[in-house]
Amino acid sequence: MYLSFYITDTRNKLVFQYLLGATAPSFKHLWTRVQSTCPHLLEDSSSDDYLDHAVVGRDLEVYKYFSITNKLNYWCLASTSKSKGPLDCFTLLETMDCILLEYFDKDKLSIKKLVNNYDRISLIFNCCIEAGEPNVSDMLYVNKIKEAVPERSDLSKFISSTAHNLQQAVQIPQQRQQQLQQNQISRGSTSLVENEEVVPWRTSKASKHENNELYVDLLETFHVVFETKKSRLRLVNGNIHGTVDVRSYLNNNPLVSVKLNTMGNDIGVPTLHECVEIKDDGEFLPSNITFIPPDGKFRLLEYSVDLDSQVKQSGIRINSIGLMSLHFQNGLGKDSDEFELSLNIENFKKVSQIDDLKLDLQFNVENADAIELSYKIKILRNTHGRFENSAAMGKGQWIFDKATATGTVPVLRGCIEYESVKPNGSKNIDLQTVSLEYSYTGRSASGIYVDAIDILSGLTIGKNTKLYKGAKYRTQTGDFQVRL
Amino acid sequence: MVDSINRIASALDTAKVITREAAAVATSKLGESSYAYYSQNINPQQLFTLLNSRNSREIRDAMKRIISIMASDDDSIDVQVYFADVVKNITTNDTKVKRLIHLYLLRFAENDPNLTLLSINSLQKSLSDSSSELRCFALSALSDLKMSSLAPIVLHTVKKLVTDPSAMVRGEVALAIIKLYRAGKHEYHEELLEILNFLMADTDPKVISCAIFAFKECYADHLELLHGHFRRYCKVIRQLDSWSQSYLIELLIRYCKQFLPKPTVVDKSSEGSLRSCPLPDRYNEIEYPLYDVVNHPDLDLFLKSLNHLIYSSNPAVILSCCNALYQLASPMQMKNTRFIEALVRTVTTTTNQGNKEMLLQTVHFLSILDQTLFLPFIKKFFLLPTDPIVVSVWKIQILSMLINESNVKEIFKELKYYVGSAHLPEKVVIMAVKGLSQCGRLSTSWESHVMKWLINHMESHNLSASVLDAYVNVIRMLVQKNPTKHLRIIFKLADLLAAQRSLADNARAGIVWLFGEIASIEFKICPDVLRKLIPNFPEEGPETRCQILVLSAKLLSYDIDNFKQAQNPANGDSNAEEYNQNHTYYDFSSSRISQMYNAVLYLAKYDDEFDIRDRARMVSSLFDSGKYEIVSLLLQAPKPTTRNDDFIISARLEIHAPEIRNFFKVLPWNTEISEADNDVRVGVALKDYNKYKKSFSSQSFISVNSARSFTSTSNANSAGINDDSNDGNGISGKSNINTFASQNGKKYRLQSLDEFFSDIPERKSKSKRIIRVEEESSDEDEDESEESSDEYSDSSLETFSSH
Repeated sequence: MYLSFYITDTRNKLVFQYLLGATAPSFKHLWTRVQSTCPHLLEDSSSDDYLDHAVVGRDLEVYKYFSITNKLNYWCLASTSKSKGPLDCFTLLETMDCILLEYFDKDKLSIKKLVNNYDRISLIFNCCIEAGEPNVSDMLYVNKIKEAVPERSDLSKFISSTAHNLQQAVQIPQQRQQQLQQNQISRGSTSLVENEEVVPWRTSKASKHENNELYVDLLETFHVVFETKKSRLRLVNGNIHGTVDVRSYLNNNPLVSVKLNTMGNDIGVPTLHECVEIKDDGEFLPSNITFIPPDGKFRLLEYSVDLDSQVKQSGIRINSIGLMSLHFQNGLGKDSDEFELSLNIENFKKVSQIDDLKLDLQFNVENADAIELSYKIKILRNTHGRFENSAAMGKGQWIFDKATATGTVPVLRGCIEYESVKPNGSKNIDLQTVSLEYSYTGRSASGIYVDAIDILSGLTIGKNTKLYKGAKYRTQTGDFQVRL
Repeated sequence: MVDSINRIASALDTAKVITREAAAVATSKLGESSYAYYSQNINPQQLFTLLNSRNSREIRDAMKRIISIMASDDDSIDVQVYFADVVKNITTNDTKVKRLIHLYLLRFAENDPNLTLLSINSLQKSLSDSSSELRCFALSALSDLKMSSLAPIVLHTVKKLVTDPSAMVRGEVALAIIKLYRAGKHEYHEELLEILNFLMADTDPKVISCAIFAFKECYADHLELLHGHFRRYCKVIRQLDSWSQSYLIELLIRYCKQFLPKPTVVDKSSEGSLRSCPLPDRYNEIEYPLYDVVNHPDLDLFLKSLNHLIYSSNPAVILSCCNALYQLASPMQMKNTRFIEALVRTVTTTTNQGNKEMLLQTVHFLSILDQTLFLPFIKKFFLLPTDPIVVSVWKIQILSMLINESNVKEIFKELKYYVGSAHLPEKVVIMAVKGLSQCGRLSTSWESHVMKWLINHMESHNLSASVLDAYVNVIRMLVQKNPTKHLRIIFKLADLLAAQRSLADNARAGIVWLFGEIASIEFKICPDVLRKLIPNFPEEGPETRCQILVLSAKLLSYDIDNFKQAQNPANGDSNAEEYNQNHTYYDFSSSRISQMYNAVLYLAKYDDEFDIRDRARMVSSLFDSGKYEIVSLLLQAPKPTTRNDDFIISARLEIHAPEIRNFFKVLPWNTEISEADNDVRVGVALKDYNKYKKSFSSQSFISVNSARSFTSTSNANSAGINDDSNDGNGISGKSNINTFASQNGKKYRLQSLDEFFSDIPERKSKSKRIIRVEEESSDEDEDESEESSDEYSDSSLETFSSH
């Protein structure tokens, strides 16, 4: 059973709290408790003793979830119970994070947004948590929450409500008396049941939209590690994590079909939104995804392409992914203290530029060496961007401009200058690994694309309403490392 | 006359209201943050005024402010002083304000039970509202008030609403059951169970979801209640809420273990063999290479129903499914489903740190039981550069679990890379070193291969003390297992000890200790090692000095024993007396080893460390006493070979969380099931409320195949699952309810609430009572309440002017 929820910023300053009873501690109290019983909870995930849950009292546990997109910490205080699964608390906190994002229809929540909407967020929590547990009566669907907690009314609504008030005030009481009687009569006849919704994730009162719009965003984050083998790259392990987000603003209750072309990739067992239709035999085909969409933004599909098994099966060597391939060499020059790095950015019609390209260079400087050896990395030739030495030992960064054109071959050549005389027998400092970080729009890393978006039925398009559809592709690196 | 004055007054009032609203808008400039700014500037005194205003907008502003104060943990204003002013606004028509008041009550009701009673009447009235949402809200708000005096009223309400035509309200009833149950009144438990039983027979998935949740929370031990629903739930499971799915799976696992016979494993490895045995209690202990599992049809139904959940976006569901397969099926069945793949996918894609750690622990847990489950996915557990320490450590542990002949090369290479990466965190490197020792366990050749690599690496790199410690530990472990086969490595270590003066103290100490142990097998090299160590004794670190002392003592003890053994057979037992007399005692003065021992002892006696001085004294007194048997007992005691778990870097990183262990705790099968029990799972009568539903156009529906289609057809289907003739159920159910309500309705009189109100202080109750009376005669409609507030304005006008 959950007792309270808290949202804090990265420095653990309280942003929002939702307490479920008079006995639930405020964040200040919890904070002192946590500091005295389990200070490791407050550390961030890169530290050694990082904890994400801990027992803070008899039968009380604190759980913490860090939302990467929002840069917020979510906390909850729950009572220990045997029937609770190991993932329940973390998953709930993650779900809440998602719900808030979808409710406000944002890509990222700012603290200001939360502060300005305290009342609304409190109500959202109230909807989602019932009897101290996640509300299982379908209240975890954003559409349902939107129905219970309407979004902020704007100026036009305010004006109309004022006018309405005015009208009411001027009305003659007797007239009202009559209405009252009429109402009483009519109330007797109305049934207690309303038209309940067709599907739980979509409200029957889905707001009316001026236009019918349906957009599909396909985002792929890839994690790959390569190693250089005879000046070629060989995949050590790799994985593409794809998400298909849909923003749907459609009237009525339409049946939509999205056709994905997987380009021969095996997307394994994907995660589907509840709205997706699955055949009775449990089979699912990405080439025909049929669903009645919830209103607004939601995650339709989440898949993962296993590059390792693909390499094994097809025998095709993957030596570049995400339009990039990288080579580097050590021991060049006459003192063999130079290194060269060359990046090959493929040309692709639909991708005009690479955004925020950054390379992290890691040299094999051991920590213990630091005292004996001082060195400097000097750049001899640099075709693009700038090079920055890092404060940490043996690290450097090659930072590109905001946009880099595709179809170019940036090269970086540098040498290592030893400030003191190189002690005999100690090894040369070499470039050991290079990590890349970038993103681009226009294509997915795996090549998966949306073949078609069809509205099969249920949508009536009037004269003045139009239907807009579209798909967007984006690729970003999660991990891209090349080892020597 | 009075009427016209009234009208003028109300018109004036409205004008005032409008200007005030306009002012509010002007200050707020309509933007969200400007509104927040406006809201923040409402001072405590203004809050009183706003809460008592007749303008719903002002009340709303005030409530928003109060909720903001609660949400921001602001100590400067005590919101509890507004209790009465807040609660009386529950009569408002503004649902948002109602909900905000609910939030307020949820938090503070316990602190002021008397004033809370003010709200009950209005809430109870909403229970019979025509809007199902309002009914739902009222029930939830009423049941959330944690007051024991209210329990009978809530119970009565619950009984009344259990037959509500709206599924939403019936679902809420199930949740109210939990709240009532938790209130801890034992006398209600029976009654609540009855209601819950009723709800479990509902046809609406939403109600089933809630009922399952209530069942799991309150009556999880009454598994027999699931008899009539088992088959139906298996079929509708994918229509339920994802949280309920995982609850239901956990319940059904327990149900199956309790009421279904254990599956039988049939040998299929050789034709015609009819061997079979019950599914072993421990995982992966089926002895047949090829087998079939024969399940009870109901168990099959359950396991099959899980297949539809494989696409769930809730990781808890995936985990529960894995648990079901782990508890109820054989490893082969587990592999045939794609849940392992789904589990691995969830592990790799989740960005939720906590979940990731738990899932990795799960993988580790399962791979201990059955290595083969995760063998196809080893590469998924290779480290990624951005993995946090916790994740990296668990990944390496999983890799070390999965090592076998065919993949050892690959994993060894990868682990080697981690060990060699200076930029990785220390704990990860140490874990990787530990992983290497697992590679060494495969065969003797791998053993020496790993050790050679470690020693080379140790020589050529500057490593931190804790990493070195791990190196030496691993080498020690591997050498000790099979010392005779690794003599070359031992020589190498001796060289290392002599050549590498810069080696850290703990590492040297470890190696010195190792020689003390090897002395029993390969005595010859040891004295030389000691000889080389003595000149530099003062320069060694404290741990090494201590170990050198121990080594010298051990060598001396071995030497004495060797001497005795050499003497004994020579003398034989021919002349025992002569032996006793002529028994040449071990010559301490001429023995080189004894001399070395003395030198070390001398040095140690004047050591800085008191520990070493102490030991020196202990050792010397042992030898001085002349009881060499005791010496050899003490110093030559065989050491148990260290296991991998013996050196644990950090308990948190290497031991499964108790949650995981609890979750996967194997439940015993019930062995006393009679055949007749089969009939208990015949479906029971269902409560179908579809007839209340208005018909709606069917064109917009997805086909029945959809993951969660809630069409009337699907409802009909689920009703039809019970192959018995249950056609009359709806009706029979209804008649049931009627008697149900009337039976119990007598006990609780709603009107008795007025007595509660007599407790409330006079001042407030008076004005409030006016409103309440008005409200009672009025309805939800807007114009209706406007009237009440109009009349109310008469009385409040005076108070207004007095301000």
